Amino acid sequence: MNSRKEVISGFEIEASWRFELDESRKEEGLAEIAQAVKKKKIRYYPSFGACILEQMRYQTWQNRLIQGGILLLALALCLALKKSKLEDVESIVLGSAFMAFAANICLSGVGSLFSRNMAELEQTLYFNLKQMVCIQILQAGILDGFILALFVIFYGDRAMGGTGAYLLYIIVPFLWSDIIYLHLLASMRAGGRTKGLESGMRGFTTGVICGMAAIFPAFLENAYAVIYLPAWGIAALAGIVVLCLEVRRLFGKIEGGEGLCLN
Amino acid sequence: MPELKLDRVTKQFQNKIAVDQVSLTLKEGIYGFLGANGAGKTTLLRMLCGVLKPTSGEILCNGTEIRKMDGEFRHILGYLPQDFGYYPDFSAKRYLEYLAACKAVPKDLAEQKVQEVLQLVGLLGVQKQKIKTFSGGMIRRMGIAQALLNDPEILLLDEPTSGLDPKERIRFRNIISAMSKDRIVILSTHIVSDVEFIADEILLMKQGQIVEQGTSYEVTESVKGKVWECLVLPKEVQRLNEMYSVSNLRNEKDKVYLRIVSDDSPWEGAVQAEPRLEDVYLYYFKEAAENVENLA
Repeated sequence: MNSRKEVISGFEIEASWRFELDESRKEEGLAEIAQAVKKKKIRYYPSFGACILEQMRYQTWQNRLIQGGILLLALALCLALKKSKLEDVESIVLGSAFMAFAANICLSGVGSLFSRNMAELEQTLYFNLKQMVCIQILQAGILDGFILALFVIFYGDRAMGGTGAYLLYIIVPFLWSDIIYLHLLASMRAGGRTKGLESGMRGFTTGVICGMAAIFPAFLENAYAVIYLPAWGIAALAGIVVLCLEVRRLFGKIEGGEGLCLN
Repeated sequence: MPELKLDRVTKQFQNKIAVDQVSLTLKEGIYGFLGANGAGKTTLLRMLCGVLKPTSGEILCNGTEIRKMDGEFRHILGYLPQDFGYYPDFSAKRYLEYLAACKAVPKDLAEQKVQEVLQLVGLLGVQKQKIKTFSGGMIRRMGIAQALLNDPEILLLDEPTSGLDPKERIRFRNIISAMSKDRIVILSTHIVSDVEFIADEILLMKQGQIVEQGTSYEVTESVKGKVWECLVLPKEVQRLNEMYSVSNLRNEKDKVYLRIVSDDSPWEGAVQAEPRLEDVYLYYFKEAAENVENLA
């Protein structure tokens, strides 16, 4: 090795000089580091999007069938309405009743999370029950949005009062139907031994009841008249507020935990 | 290595206090929570895994409140509930894959982990069968398998051997013993043999409180001098059974051998015996056993 002299702070020293390395201590140190690294666990943190995809991947075929079925039914109904010679009010009533029914069916995915006593275990997972409920509500919302769009596109411009009015007439029963379903869900102890079929039947039953209740305005004179649009608007606003409260209540129940456990 | 600290944790349901001011520090090792039904074990475990919110007190993991840790805590947690739920139309493999995804086990590792845990619990051969075809013991084993999927640092098992036959129980004990290094394992059970041979520390729980804790030896020593053996006439058996906690009864020729747990000698000629963990259980929980009998 060529040694060269360096001048550092006025002192000339050999550039090749180094502290003698204690090889055994070096080996010890490296071994300790390797040991510590081995003990360290590298944890994977999936994104919310990745979690959503995984949730959708593991949906049961029954859920997918129901969702696909309700979408097709909505399409069929819209096409039929478009071709039909039904009175304006009758078309609105049909649309409202269907939206109220569909709202419950689309939300039954949320209900299934609380069946089979899975809720307690799912709440302890990294991707936990609250997040699963969020995704199911989002999914239901997207599906409902599609169905709503179908009705508005196919029939909205023919309704008296225009598209906006038609949207109000069918969104109000839809909102309150969702509220009733979520209220019942938050009020009951998590499924326990409730089978998935029973959970689905619950959604179907409340859907039918809400659908029938959605017909009620048709018995009131001029309920769909333009003059009463502000009332529908208030009902829609109130529905949005109460729906938010019900979702909050459901999350509160999950957070508290007592309703998730079988006993 | 995690450390769990419970600071005066209490859980009250309306008029009933299920867990009453429990304070503990749990480090690496196996902890056996032993107690009768209704002692508060399950409630405590549910609070430890974050399902239930304590009425008061706090639960800290490495100094941070577990509810504040949120996903970070659940990432290192494995939990087997007492009432284990499942989707019956899922196969065992699909169900575990689903839970592996929910536990944020990386996809490329999930398949391997699923196969590993299935082998560990002896369900590899039935992995493609639907869970609804499984026996109770198989479902329980699958529950144990799912708890291990994410290689948890904190493992909470509530009545893990319920429905398992003796061979499966021994297998379970060996699995837990083997994996207790660098982990906190908490077993909640009312079956003494579940914890007798593997628990580093046993905690006896009664009416929401920890009444005794220590190693198996320390806990059994606490009832030293309170376990008696005697031979009695058959006609005395019923009376003694009603008056004392009898941990063992055996017919021997024309007499009956009784092993009794009592503060005082129950019978003239009774000799003191070396206590076992079962005796400890009877000593502390005899009222619970009596209440059950009265209700029946």
